[in-house]
Amino acid sequence: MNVATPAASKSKSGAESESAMTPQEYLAAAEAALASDRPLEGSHLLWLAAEAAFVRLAQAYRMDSADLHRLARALDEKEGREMYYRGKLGTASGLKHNAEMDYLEPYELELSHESICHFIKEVI
Amino acid sequence: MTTGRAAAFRRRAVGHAENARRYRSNADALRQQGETESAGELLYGAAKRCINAIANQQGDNPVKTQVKVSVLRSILLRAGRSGLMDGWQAAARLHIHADQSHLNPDEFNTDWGSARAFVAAMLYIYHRDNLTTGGQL
Repeated sequence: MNVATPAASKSKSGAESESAMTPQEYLAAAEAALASDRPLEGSHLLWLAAEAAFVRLAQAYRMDSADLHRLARALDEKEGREMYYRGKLGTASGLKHNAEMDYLEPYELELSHESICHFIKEVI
Repeated sequence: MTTGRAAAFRRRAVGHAENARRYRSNADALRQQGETESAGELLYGAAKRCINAIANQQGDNPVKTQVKVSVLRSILLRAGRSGLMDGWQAAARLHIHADQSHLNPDEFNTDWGSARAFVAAMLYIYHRDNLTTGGQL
């Protein structure tokens, strides 16, 4: 689905996001960081982009975004998709962890980047 | 690659698919016993065997994980199932979790579901291709 509601203003991970950045803005910032060889910052920004996209989806569907795992499951059930939203949330969570742990190989980070990029473009 | 080697890989595919099913079954049992880290590691093993099975079935034999992923990308593109790449990545995170114990229960459950769906879909692709080609791909 496409949604066009205001961007999330608060990160559900507990951290305040940069006020009202849209998922696309986070994605652009992430791509700039990755292009500048700052993979950990890029990972964090990709996580924020996905998180903001989930919040937008929740707003569009009038669903609760406090628990993103529950939200992703509900979205999969609502749209009859087996593991689409949960898969994207998992990939996004992996990026969040990578920002802290630096465990993804470059080709793995590229896969995750590609996945979140497609997700943002599909749902927003 | 010689035709003989490709044929040998195709024969090996059957064993990889059987291993994938067995690993998945053992992973389910371990998870039910609360052995989540071991279960995750086994499910990752099942996911890798699925890639081996389909790659071998097609006469290919990727050894390094990065090459497996490249082969996987081609398999999923041909099958029209590119979205399954998230399931592979979930399996890889379960593998990391077995070493780092970094996933919280919600994250683990989400990744478990994705990885398990990946294994099921890959086994489906393997069997479908076997039926299509009579095992003579």
